[in-house]
Parts: sequence; C-alpha cells; structure tokens
Amino acid sequence: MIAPESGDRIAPASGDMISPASGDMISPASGDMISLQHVTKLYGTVIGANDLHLNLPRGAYALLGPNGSGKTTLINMLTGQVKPTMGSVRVFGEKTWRNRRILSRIGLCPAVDVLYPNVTARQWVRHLAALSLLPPDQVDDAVDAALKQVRLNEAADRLMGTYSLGMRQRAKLAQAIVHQPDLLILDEPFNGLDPIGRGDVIDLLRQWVDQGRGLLLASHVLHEVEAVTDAFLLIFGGRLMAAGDREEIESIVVGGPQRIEVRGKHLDRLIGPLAATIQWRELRWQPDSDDTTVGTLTAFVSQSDAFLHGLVRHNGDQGVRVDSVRGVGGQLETLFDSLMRTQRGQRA
Amino acid sequence: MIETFRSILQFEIARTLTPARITLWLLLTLFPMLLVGGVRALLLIRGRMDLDPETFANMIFYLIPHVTCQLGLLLWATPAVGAEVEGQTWLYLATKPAGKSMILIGKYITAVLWTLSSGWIAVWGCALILNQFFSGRIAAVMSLMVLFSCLGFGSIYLLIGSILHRRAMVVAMLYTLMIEGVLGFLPATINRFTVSYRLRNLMIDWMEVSGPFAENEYLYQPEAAPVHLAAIATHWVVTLVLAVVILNRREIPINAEA
Repeated sequence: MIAPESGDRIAPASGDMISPASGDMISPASGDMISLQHVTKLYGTVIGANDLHLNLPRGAYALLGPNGSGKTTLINMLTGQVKPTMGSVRVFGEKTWRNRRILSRIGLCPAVDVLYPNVTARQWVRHLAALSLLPPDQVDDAVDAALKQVRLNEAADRLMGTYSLGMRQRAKLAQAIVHQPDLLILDEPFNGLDPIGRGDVIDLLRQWVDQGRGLLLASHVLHEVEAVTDAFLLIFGGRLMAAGDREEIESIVVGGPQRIEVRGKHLDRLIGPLAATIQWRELRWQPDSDDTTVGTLTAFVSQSDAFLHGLVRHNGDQGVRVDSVRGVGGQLETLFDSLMRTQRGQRA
Repeated sequence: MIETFRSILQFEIARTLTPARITLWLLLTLFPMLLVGGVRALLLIRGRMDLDPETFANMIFYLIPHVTCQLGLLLWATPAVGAEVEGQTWLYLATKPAGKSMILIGKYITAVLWTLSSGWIAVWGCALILNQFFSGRIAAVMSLMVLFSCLGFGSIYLLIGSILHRRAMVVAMLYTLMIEGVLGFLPATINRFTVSYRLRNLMIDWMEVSGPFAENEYLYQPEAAPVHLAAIATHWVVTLVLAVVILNRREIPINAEA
C-alpha cells in the first residue's frame, strides 16, 4: 500500500476499493463516484491540498486526518466551492467547479454549526429542500421523511435557538439527505453528539450505506468512523498519505512509532533493560495508589515490535508480570507521524 | 423557479422577524412621518396656514426615497452574502443546486420588499398627515420614487455586498455619502452616473417643482422621463448582473483548512 521508494509520493491502496493512482496514464473512469486527478489547491502561498490523485468507486469512505490536514479543503472542492489550482475534481464523472447540476446528487453536512435561532428546523430544512429544486408537491413529504430519519420530527417545529448541539447536528443531517443525494458528504458529523446521538447517527449512516449510496465521512477520530466503514483515506498536510482498510492501516503502525500501555506487576523493573535495548521517546511508570507494585507502564516507542519482543523476553524476570497490553489514544497522530516518517524513508 | 424564490422569501422573512429588526423597520417607517407631522404642527402653531405643498414634496422626497430607503437597503441588501459567510451558513445555501444566483436574487427581492413596505407606508402616512397640502398625485409620484430608489440603491448595495463580505456596510455607507450624496449633487456631468441624479430629475419633471435644483443645468436636465427611467433600468440590470457574476466566480471557502 505504501510506496516509500517512489520518493515523497504515497499511492492509495489498490484493490477493489480504490483504483491505484498510476500517474497521468490513468483516466477517470466514468463510473467512479469521486475522481481526483493530481489535485492541488493553494491559498496564496499556503497549500490546502497537495497532488491528490485517486479514483473512488461508489461506496463508503472515511476521510481521516487531524484538524487542519486538508479535509475541509477537499470537501470544498468536491462540492464546487473552491476551484483546484491544478488538476481536476470530478464527482460522478462531472467537474464540480461552477457546476450546479452535480449538486443535486451531493448532500453536504458541513462541520460548521447552523445559527438560525429564530426559525424552526422544519422551516430551515424546507427552505433548503426548495433550494435543492425538489418538485414543489414533493417538498413537504421529503422534509417529513428526512426529519423522521434523523429522529427530529417531534421537535421539528421548535425554534432552532432552543436546540441542543446534538439536535442541531440532526437538523444539519436532515438538510443533507432531504433531496436523497447519491453521495452524502459529512464533515465531523459526530461533533457535539452524546453517545446515544452518536449511535443514532451511526445507525442512520449504516442504513444509508446499506442502500448502496455513496458516503464520504470526514473525521479526526478513527474509532467513530470505523463503526460505519472500513475503507479509510488518510490525509495529512493536504496530502493523501494512505488508503485502505483497517488491517492495512494497522500494518503501517506495527513496527512503527506507537504509544503503548502495559498493565502488570513490577513493570518498573523493565524500564532499565528496555531502555538499554530499544529506541524510546518515553517510558513512564505509574504505580496504583493502593498497591504500588502494580501499575501502568506507558511507553512511546519508535519500534513497537522491538518493544513487544522485549516485553515477552523479560516477562517473569524479577517478579515481573504483564497483565495486559494495549495501544492508546492519539492513534491518528501516531499513525500520521509514522506515515510521514515512512514516506521520508526514516525510522523514528 | 417561482417556488424557489417564494421559499427564499418566506424563509428570509421568517428569520428576520426578530424584535430588533421589527423595531428598525418601525423606526424607518415612522421617522419621516414624525418629522413631517412635527413641522406641520409647528407651522400651524405659528399661524402659517399658507403651507407650500412644494416644500413638503421636496422634504418628503429627501426623507423617504433617500434616507428611509437607503438606510433600509443598507441594513437588508448589503449584508445579504456577508452575514451568511460570517455566520458560516453560506455553505448550506451555496451547495444546493438552486445556485448562488437564485439565492442572491431571492435575498435582493426580500430586501427590496422590506424597504418598499416601509417606504410606501411612510409616503401614505405623510399624505394623511399633510392632508390638503399633499395631493394624491404627489403621493403617487413619491411611491414611484420609493420603488425606483429601492430597485436602484438595492442593486448597488447588493453589488458591494457581493464584492466585499467584510466591511461591506462601511463601504456602502461611504458610497452613499460620497457618490450619491456629494457627486450626485455636484454641478458636473459626472453626476449623471448616480441614481440620485435620475430620481431628482424624475421628481422635478413629474412634480413640476421649481427651486435651486430645477434651475441649475448640471443638476437638472429637462430630458424626457423615459431617458431617466431607461438609465435607472440600465443601472439596475448592470449592477445586478455584476453582483451575480462576481458571486459565481468567487471562491468562498468556509472554514478552509491550511
């Protein structure tokens, strides 16, 4: 999946999900849901997207990247709001810049909040349904169906100023699906949702995908999107770093920099031997308050496989007992860090 | 298309029905009536029964088609795009297939209707207050002036709002003062490019008023009214088309990441 030998360019995954980017020779297949051909976007001297090149057949994809990685720039280009400085952006075979026709096939739920405090969700969704050019006699039914789908029908006639953030997120989702688009693009749809709200949105998106509709879900939190799809596009610094399913993504991490938490007894005795044999950035022992022989060893290591081997080798020495091992938070940041280093041909 | 405009109008009116906006509308509507009523009462108290209808016509001309309409349009037409961009709601509108043009025109119609209602009520309110000094003909002419003012100034402010999403109000205010206010009254040929010149000429023609403006060849040209109407229409079409073209060609990234 990763081609570090190709210089500073990483090709997205091949296989059923994503056609391999093979340079200028490849032409966008008309059946592709999204086709990016060497797309670069510059905001003055700041780069928003850097040589994005991939073809996505119809399906569900998660666009993953930390804040400021270029996700929103890509979405803005897919919805025709900004023009690529170089390259071409096509959705269902049509260019998106200044193309109103393609917008009837796209539903966008932006990350930005909606601030119309003195209108109801029904009024707002109805207004946007009319702007979606639905036939007038179908607007009311479409609005009802969309509000019901996001479970907002009972509160739909309340002013949006009285809504919680979660309810506003549902209203945003309703306006995105009201015209039944072929491709639904969601930018950070889980922001502000409580666990129940997240569950509802995940259910809705699963249904959407099961209907065979296209989905592009942008997020900076991996575990939220993996409940909906296992096809990931990793973007960082405006560049597509990698693409593939969870196993492929995880294979990048294995052996690379990783933060690991180990629970067990007398793990502080491992710090010396481990520190002497592996490359590490952090090795921290945190004993439990009730029993100081038991606790958590947090390690941020450059080569996780070497660390794990060391752990197995020393387990049982001097009373050391390993109870559990797990990778911890910030996986995305770690992953992107790993990808960046791999891309540059470095080991941390 | 009609359904889309109707929806935009309905939604825009619903969202502007706030106590602050209604108060502003009332202020703009009542302020000329209160001023005219006050002047009339003062003259009557002083025993001046020979009130000059021409003076009142001039006064109302500058109060309503100019001050009331310009202020109303400044508030409603200028921020048509900027308010949505600043509130980050523009993306919801611009990514719908109706397109930016329809949204812009829909917002323009809303701004014109809000201001028109205010201006017309103010004109007929003044007609009631002045009674015998304000004929039906004057009221009809003033109503037309209000209509032309709303269409003409509204499209200019919309254009400014399409070009500048920040500080559009400041620029529109400067335009009003410097171009329409000063240049429009300069005794020079350049004043013919202003809406205020055309409105003034139409008013003088249709009301057959005299006074300093009517006697200055730079400020009043006895051209036929259709010439002035054609000039206003051309101005209106050009500014609206420009506003639409500029908005469609501009990139308005919301929350763009670096």
